[in-house]
Amino acid sequence: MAGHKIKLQSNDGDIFDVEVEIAKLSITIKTMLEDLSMNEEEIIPLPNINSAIFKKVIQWTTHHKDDPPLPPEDDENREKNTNDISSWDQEFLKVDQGTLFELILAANYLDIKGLLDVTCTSVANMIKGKTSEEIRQTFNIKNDFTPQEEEQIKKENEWCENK
Amino acid sequence: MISCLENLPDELLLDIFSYLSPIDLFISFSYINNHFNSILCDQSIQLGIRIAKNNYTKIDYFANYFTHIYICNDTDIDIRQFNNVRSLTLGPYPKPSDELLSQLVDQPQRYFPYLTQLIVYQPLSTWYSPPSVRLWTQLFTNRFSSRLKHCSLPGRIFALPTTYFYCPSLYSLSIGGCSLRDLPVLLSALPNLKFLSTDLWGIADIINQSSYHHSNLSHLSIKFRQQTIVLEELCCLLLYVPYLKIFTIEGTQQHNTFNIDNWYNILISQFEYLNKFYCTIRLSDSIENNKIDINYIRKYNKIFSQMKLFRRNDSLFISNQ
Repeated sequence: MAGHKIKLQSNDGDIFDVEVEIAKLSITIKTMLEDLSMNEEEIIPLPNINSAIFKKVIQWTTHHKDDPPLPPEDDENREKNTNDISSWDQEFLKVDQGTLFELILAANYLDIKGLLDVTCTSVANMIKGKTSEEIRQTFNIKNDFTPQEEEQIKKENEWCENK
Repeated sequence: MISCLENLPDELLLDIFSYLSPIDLFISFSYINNHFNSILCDQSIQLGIRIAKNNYTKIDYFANYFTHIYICNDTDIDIRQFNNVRSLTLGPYPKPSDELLSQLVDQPQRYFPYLTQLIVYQPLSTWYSPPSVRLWTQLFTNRFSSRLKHCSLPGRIFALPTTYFYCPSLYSLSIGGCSLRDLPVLLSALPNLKFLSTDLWGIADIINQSSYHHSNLSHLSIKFRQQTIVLEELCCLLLYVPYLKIFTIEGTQQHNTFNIDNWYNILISQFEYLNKFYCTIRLSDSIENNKIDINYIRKYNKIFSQMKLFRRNDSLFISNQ
């Protein structure tokens, strides 16, 4: 029923009133409501998501509530398309890396395929075309190779420098 | 709060990696640190790539990482470097050259020790070329890895030698065609086969039929290439495979010999285990709609999971679906 709301609680205690149809974009919440027969009056706890991230999730699901369902994955085309992030999503994802990674975790926990798709695509686009050193700098990844390993890697990796 | 990419769970990192081409992935991540190296080198991760002309030169640095390979490039490639491949597809466009097939049959156990699935699209013109013939021979004489379970070859088998063919590793085989006479020979060479898909032609030797029974084949899909399906021949064929669970048949039958009761009796009398039967028949003569009653066919829905009858001009006129 349009407009009908349920209560969802983030892990820092905030309670959000969310339209059922929007909340059900999360397969996790949909399953709780339908298969586990949870009462819509009950407060549904979301122990893995804080308020700030959940607000972003609600913002995304509200905007995408009328999207057509995503097509099934095609095993033959394992390489996914990373070029078609809508301008709204691009604006939505102008966040710091920590928020982006938390959104990926939230999308995965709540099982919102469209949000997981667009957040992973965004990270993949940050990776594309970068060398290992550029990746380390971009994502603040520590190099824990020994000098000997490093030397070996440089030899093996010479072709990348000239790509 | 996760602030670093590295702190994401491995399964989500793999999810992100799936949005990158394998080449981008290896250029960016293979020399980052030990954690990422261990993820990329995990043998249980399946990395697939479609190899075309524009990416082959970069791939050979990482050849051992790939487990699923589609070859869409017929020149200047050596597939023997993909020693870790599990699933190898040659073709369909362009069709694999004789040179590529020669590489495939060159000591396959040595170069493809983990191969479990092989799909080779061969053009008709190369069915009988020496590398193609050698491919059949290597396959049926156990020269591929014993891990090879699934194989699809579009060529046709003619006059199988009866003596030395034996390949117990194959579970699933899809081929372009086989004669009714050769079928028991083929089945006896593949004792653990569970699935077979093939076109069939020729006339079964009804009088001197083999007493051979295959004890594992549970799923058979055949297209009869004869002018009409002769039910006695079908009976003869089906005697070889008494443990069928799923049977799919497509073919042509003269409408005056088509009799749903006969089909039903054959299937019921011979198959204790059959639970799905898909039947598509083109009737070779024109027919009036009222000659076959759909309600009569529906009476047999328990056995006919799908029954479709087509007119000669390919228009569907009866289906129990």
